[in-house]
Amino acid sequence: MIGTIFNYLMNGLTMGTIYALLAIGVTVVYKSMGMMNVAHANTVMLSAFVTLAIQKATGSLILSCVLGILAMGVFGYILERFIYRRVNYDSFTNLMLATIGMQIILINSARAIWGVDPYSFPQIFSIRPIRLGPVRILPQSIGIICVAGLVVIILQCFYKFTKTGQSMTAAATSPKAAMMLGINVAKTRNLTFTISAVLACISAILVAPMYNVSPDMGASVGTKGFCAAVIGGFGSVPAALVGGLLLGIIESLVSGVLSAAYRDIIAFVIMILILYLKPAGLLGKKVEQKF
Amino acid sequence: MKKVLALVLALVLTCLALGGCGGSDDKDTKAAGGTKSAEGTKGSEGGEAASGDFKGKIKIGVICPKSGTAGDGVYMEAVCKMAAEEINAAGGMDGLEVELYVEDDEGTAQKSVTVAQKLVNQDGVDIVVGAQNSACTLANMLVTQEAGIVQITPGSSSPSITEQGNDWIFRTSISDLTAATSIMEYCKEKGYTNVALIHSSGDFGMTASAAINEHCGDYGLTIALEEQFNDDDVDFTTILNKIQSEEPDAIICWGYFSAASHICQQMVQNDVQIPFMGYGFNNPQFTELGAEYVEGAIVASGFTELSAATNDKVQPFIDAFTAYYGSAPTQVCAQSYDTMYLIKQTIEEIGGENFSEEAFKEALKKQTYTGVTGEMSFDEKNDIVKECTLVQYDAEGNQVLVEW
Amino acid sequence: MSKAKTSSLIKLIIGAAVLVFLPLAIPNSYIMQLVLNILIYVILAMGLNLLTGFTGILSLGHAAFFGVGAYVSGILNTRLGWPFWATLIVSVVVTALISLFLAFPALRVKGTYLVLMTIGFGEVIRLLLVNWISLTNGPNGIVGISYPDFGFFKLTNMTQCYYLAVIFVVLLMIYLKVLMKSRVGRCLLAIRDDDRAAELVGIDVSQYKLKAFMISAAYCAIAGTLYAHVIRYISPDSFRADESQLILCCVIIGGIGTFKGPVIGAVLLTIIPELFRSLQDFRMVLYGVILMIVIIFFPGGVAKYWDLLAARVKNMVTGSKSKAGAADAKK
Repeated sequence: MIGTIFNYLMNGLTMGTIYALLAIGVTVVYKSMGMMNVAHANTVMLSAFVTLAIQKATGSLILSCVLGILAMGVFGYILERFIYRRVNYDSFTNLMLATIGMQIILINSARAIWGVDPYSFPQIFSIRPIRLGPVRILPQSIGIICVAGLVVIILQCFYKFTKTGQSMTAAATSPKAAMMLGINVAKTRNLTFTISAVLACISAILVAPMYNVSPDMGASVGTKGFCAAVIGGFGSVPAALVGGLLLGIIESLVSGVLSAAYRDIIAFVIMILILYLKPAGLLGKKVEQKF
Repeated sequence: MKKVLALVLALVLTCLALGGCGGSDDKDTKAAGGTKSAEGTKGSEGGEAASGDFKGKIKIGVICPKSGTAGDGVYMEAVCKMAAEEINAAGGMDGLEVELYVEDDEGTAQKSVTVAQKLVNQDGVDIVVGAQNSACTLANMLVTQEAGIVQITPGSSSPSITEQGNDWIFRTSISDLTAATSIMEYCKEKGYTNVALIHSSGDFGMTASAAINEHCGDYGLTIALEEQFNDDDVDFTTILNKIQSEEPDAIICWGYFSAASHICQQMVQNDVQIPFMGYGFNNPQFTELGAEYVEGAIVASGFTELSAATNDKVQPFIDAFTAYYGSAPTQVCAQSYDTMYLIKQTIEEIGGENFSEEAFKEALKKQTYTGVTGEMSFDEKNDIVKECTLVQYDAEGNQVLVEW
Repeated sequence: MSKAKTSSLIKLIIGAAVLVFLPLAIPNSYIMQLVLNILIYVILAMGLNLLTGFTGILSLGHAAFFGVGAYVSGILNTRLGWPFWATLIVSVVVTALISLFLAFPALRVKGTYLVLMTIGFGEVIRLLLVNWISLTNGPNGIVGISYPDFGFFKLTNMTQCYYLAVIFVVLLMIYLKVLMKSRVGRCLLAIRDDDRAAELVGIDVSQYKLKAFMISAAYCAIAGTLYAHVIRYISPDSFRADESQLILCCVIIGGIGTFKGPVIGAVLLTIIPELFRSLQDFRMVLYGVILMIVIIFFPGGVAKYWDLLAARVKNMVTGSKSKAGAADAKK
């Protein structure tokens, strides 16, 4: 019995790591701009297609990953510079609606260009689960945890110790004050989006082998990414990682002990409860109300 | 700047409006006054200047989900277009040129009703082929029923479609009940008593679950475990672990190829060696995505390339469609193709110039037709009577007929 | 009568005439279906506008109220054979009560957290509709709902449904205007502008927010009941997150916090995807692009620019007269 429960825990890491990646992606944008980027999961989808296209053209996986990340960085830059910047940044609603519009454009463009059928993405990790006694864990999960952990550490160092990172945090808390201090707020926003797009591409490379690349890829887990971020503590990158893993584990436990039918509903119920009881999330300390 | 943009937008919208609704001069005469009466004779427009040497036109509306969550309605569209071109090249349906109107219902009931309205009332189609999703067909068949137009669905498998007492809806796809019966009979033959049932949470899987739960006792089966999954799930390890602990004789799976391919792969990864069978994943994509992991899986099939051995319509169809669209045909493709030719056969029987909805409907009910999916006819509820075969995937991903 | 009153009376008469005689101009059921869709979305958008535009509470979960309203009506009609007016009343009451499940927690949070809560609520309701099979028949939906019938009088076609829907839209619009002119309306606006200040002035912010939620949900329930009885088939697929997004888009693009905004938004967002059907694959891409364009270049919604345009036209028309008048005045 305990062995089974432990198994469910480990299984939870498979989806948990995916949620963690998505949660980190949306947290980066929220943290620096107070903006809800609904289109993040779709950016992951686009990254997967771009990387796959490069891989088919060049034949090399490593090259396609590098080029893909660069390409998506450029995409994020262009997106913020020429589209989102024109939206009134003081309006939370308009920003969010702009990302909704972007979501529609991304999904349907992908459908029009690449069709609806899924494509196989080359495997990065071995498929066979690793056995630790009675417990099985996918190499993919370990890989994602390592990469995600690394990303979190790098980001935290960036935010705390570099000048640019500190400016980003300042710009987020109060754009006007930051501008008075001489911080180029526009540039920090631009950088935020570029980073978020790069993260999307990294997530895509790690996740696409399991998902198979299609325009609808990840459309339904996008919202779970937000759930995960909230559970951990929205606005903090390490909390996003923890929240993602936790959400995956909880879903797996509920699936295993009760039934898979409850799996989706539990994520949203927990999110609502946390928002009600402790909006700062499990790890968060105070709630930063931007609007 | 804003004024210019607003003006440009208004112009673009006006142009699209005119373009989209354009060409409706002759349709106005038919569409005026609202819905058509069922008794009215809708003959082919005899005096109309038809292209080539056709006597007239037959308008066929096709409703399929080209966008939305499923999105694979593009297959249905492609095969209907291909069939229409083939038929027109060979002289049309008893001299009537086939004019296809394809609409995207986005896989939602609401839109399906809207496009059905458009096809029936604005485009004035004579026959509707569609929809693909059962929920969509259940919604839009009210439209054709009220207008007195025959609707044939080549893809909706929910048994309740033919249980509504609607005489205008026909189905050329095997229903979930037929497929389930085949699977359950096979289980009984093999001596299985305990099965695990896993199914999609959409209407496809839920209907099947109800049907299997209701009838499993007839075949001496008990359902040891039942679980549902979402069509776009990728991780089934927890469900598989649960199944493993129950140790059933077989796993019955009702879902689409994406989930099914993941399940098969994870079954191998987790050493779950239980016979796997079901319905809904009879699709070339299943082997493409599942690769070597699908070996041993059994699927109930309304169409299989194996039938090429006994049915000489099959291979040319497969080749033609692969050349036309770029990938191999799915079961819905084959069923849609047969639907088009079935319509042709029915029209030839009643005579193109005598076309009326009532005549067509009555003739259709009595048709027997042998197409790429085999021999078919209709029962008293306008549901298809057709054999459902079971095929198994071998190590190379090819289908092999199951002998039982 | 003053000039202003005469001109608004004329506008009213013209408007009423248009609404009454519109069915004559509609060539077939497809267009009528679109018109009915527009009317239903107008009601939905009005409901959401009350909460978002007038009270300042952003919600991306309103499809839930739409869905609950539709399902309550559908279930009562198909299983108990209840007539329209009965299903309507129960559906409004039930939906308003259910809205409290969101309203109470929502009092506590703001901004992104509030939006996420509404999204979560919307998903929970949708999942309940999908999985509570004994109640809702699950993903297969509910078939065979009847056209609106009032016991002694049954509607039998879409044109009659159109008039029913128009009556509802007009009544609901009037109610909204009366509400916003009253003390309640002023309090809501005060809450929208700064709820802490409103609290200080003595407004019971919580009570008004709850009321706004309930009325907003009631509007959606009415739309849901109409939808159920007109389309006569409902399934959980119609009440997903993108439906909530669509309703919000109607409000924002039409003109948030205005009275004609929801109408403009509903008309635009229903008609534009239909116009583009000829584009096939790129249809929805263009739809998304147009959304972006409106959000970027016409923030605050089309209504504001509609007013500006109307004012300009008016100026151009009456410009010559006023110039003569000004010249006289200067003398």
